[in-house]
Amino acid sequence: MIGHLEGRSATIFADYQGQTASASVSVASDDRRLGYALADQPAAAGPYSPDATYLYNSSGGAIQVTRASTGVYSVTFAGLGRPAGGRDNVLVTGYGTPGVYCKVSGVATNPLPGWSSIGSDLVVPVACYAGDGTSTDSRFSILMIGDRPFGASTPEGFALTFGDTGAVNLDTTVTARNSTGGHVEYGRAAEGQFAMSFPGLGKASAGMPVAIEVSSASGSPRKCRVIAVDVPNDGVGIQCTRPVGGGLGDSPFTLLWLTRGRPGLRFGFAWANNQANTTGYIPVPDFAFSSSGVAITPRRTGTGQYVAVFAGLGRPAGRMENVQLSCVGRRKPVGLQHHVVGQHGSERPFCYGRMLRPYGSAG
Amino acid sequence: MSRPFVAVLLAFGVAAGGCSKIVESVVGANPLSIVVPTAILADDTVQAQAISTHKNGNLETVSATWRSSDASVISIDDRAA
Repeated sequence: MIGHLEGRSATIFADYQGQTASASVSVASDDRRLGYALADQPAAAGPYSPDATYLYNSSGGAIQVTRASTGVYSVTFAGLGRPAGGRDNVLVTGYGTPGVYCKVSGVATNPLPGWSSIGSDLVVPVACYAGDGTSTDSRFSILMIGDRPFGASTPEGFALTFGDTGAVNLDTTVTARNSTGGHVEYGRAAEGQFAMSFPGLGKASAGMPVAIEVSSASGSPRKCRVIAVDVPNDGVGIQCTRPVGGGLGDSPFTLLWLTRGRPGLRFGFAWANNQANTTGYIPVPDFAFSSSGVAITPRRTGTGQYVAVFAGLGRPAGRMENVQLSCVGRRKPVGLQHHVVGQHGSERPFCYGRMLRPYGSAG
Repeated sequence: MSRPFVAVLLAFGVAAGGCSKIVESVVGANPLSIVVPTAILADDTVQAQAISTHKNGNLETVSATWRSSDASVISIDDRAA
């Protein structure tokens, strides 16, 4: 069904074998929410306001971080609560401490993982873990987007899964979206192995680079990564692992498929597919883009550490920016983590393993 | 990346079918319910689902005939079911 007249409602009917069901559906205004922050005070009980250099809230409201206990935080995006008809996605990346990773967590009052729209605010639970799965304090980078922050015509998809052991369509959840109007399909193939499909999104994304971000979203220390992307067939393969031993383990996850950023503003992403290169290389064109039009050059700087230079995307004075990382590829030995340890000018995200890096910006 | 692997996963996911996980609105008693959001954005396209409940309690997503009380507000396209 397609919404047309903002502020109006219509009744939708379904007829099947003599039975009729109906529901009233209203048409709401746009949802271009965007917010991000770099939570830079891991030990502060808070609530505190993170570094303004790496903070943006499209509502103009505050962003505050509160620490509940070791490695357990909540982030409140004031004014970014979900509007009628709105949908949202959140990604979290650990920052700064080698071997530490952070993710969207759950809250005790809600059996499902993920974030909540509370009043006019969006509240995101976050948890950080050391490589052995124990809770630990850490800085982290967080990004939230609404239904269509990059424009109504921009191919985009996202989903938050809920640990189903079968296959489900997530279309009507407020945390899933397929910009083409197709289903948002989720399937579990085996323990820790999942597939997502966004029918129509591959075709809509044809001819433009695609970025896929995946992160576990649960109250456990399990981790998730992208293991396969099949753009022509709208598909993404996801694998989740246990922190100790690296064995496969089920986990809800959050996923974002995007193709570009806000019109006229800095944006870049890359899949750094060469783990061994120490001199710099051109990443796979199908999964790399820079609004500067200049090359993106990842390279390995040490064991499990990498840098990616987005030439021409240095942060202008007074502007803000956000960086997210997601590991790509099959499970690695214990100690494989993803995190950012630097964020200055146009370079210095680091990651254990290969990475895919969308680069959101407010300007 | 591993296209055969994702193809297998996707085949699994599509073949198994399924129903929506979290619904914003479920209207209608057995045997037919529909799953739609309570609101959608202007110019946005959203999938709706019709779910039939069998006597044994099993749920089945079915191909229903969809219509709108006011197509100028919300119209139905061929992907609605």
